[in-house]
Amino acid sequence: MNRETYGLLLKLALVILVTLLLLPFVPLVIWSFAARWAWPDLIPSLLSARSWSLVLDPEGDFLKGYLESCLTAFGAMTASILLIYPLARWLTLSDSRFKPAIEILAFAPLLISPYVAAMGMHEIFVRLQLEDTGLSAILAHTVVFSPYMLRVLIVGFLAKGERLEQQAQTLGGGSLFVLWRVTLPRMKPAIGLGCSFVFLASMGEYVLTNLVASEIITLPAVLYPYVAAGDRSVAAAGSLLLMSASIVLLILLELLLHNKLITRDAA
Amino acid sequence: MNSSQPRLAVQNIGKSYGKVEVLAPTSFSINSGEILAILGPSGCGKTTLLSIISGLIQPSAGDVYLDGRPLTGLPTERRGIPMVFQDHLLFPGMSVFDNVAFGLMARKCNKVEIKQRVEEVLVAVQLQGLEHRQPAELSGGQKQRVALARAIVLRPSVLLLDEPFSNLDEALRLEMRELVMESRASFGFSAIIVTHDSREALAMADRIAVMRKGKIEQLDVPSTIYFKPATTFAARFLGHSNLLSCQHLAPELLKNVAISNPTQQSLPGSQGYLCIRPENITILTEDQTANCLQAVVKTLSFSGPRVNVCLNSAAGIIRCELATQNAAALNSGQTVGLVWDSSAASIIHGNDQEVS
Repeated sequence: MNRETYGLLLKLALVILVTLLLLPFVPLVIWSFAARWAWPDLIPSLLSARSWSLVLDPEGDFLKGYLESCLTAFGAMTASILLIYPLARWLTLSDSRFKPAIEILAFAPLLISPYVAAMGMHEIFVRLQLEDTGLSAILAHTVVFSPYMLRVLIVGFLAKGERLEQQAQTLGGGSLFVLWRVTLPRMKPAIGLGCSFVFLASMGEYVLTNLVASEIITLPAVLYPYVAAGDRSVAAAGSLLLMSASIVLLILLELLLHNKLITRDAA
Repeated sequence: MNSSQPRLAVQNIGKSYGKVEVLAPTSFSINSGEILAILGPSGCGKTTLLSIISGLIQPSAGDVYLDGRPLTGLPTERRGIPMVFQDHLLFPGMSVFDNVAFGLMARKCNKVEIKQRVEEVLVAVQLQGLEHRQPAELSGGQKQRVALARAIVLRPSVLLLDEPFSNLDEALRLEMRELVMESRASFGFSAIIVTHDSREALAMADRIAVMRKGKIEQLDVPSTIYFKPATTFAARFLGHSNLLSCQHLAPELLKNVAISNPTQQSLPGSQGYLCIRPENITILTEDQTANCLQAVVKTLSFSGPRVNVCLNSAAGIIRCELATQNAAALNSGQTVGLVWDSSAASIIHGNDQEVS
């Protein structure tokens, strides 16, 4: 196979891949503007901006739910990284005999139903008078989704090892200096991936939020009745709104990973 | 610093993991400007020793002193003892300049001083003009130069080198050895170099510590370690050495030969070995074979300016090294006599220890 044919096949594969990835979103976009789209019509017979007016209504539940979902997801993501980073490092590098027990505890939320954990947490939040607050929602999401962050960071630490940090220490780098200049730049891909997991999982969760903080309105909770009632147009517009947060996060992470501190392997 | 005070002193440093002792209590010191090579096979504890000095590993016992100041409990970054590792460990994503400036930035030096010191050291390691390159854009030798520059820019009193050239080819190794020696002269640091390459240790070190199974077997100047090894292990580890059982040698061949390890008690069942380097044996032709060790030439192998001769004798296989022109008269199967200067040989008491 010559280079031209290979290049052509590569482009074709890329086009197919992008099409397959985008294809599910095309009907969503069309549905969000459709007032009537019955089978066997190829395109909607009537278009309307009703769904978007409802979804983007500043006084409506959709934007409130969107904002509260984003804040909860962002809070859970931030809390996860702050709590899990040192734990993941310790679990990777320590040879303590307590390590296996702590590892099992840390991954326990993946092994038991999140709703069982939520019930327990709700009890504690009630005693601490934290029930039905944004903080309780963030804490519940952090507990349930942080194992995703932990798994990714452990893999990241295992792949990178600690030799560069040791080198930095022998050159006089203190803990914070080494963390900022050496460790974080190298761990950025793993941190980015862990953040994506926690944020996306948190954005899609509403039963857990409802159990521990019923006052918090999440976008999936607002969206659910429309989906259940078969209002595809509003469901599509709401889903696109939900998706926009993830797209913004992915763009931000991509920008962060490709700034001048991006890790380039020196092998 | 007191002029008689060693630059760095290691006192009874030991390390165990549970019941496994990886480093027996070890003591030594190095003086200002001195290079000490720690030589030994893989797994003998030499890197553990270096890591303890740098503070990367905590010892189970003992202490390290820098200019008389104990380093116990001091974290690695506050010891002021930079280390150059085998695999250069350049910081990815940082240019050559930023890599070299790393330690100065950690010490919060001002920008003018950082620029001036980095430029000075880059000239010293012949890397001027490559300041803006990324590590991935450098060759293996250049990477190791950056690693060295990054350490010496800190003007350390002691520098640790952990097998720094073992990933380089022979020509680059020679180049880097010379560079370290030149840098030592220019910047005046003392250094401890860990290596398993005896030639590297002999070429660079003012003194050599031969390590085996977590213990220093001999610590001395290179010529003594080479010509008068204290153990059969040291004799074998530093290039080829003929170790001839004294039981098979005539008394007159052992006459006036010094004992390398006179303080060592002979163990029950142990014996002595005459240690003689191949280049210190003289081969006499058949008509001169009285009062010498009789041997038969087994093989002759040409290696440029020298010829390696392998001989069979009553004391075992013996290897000699002759100048090519002196080997012209020798043939396989020929009976010859072997003699040596007693001052070039030594007797080692104890059992034979394989190099492992």
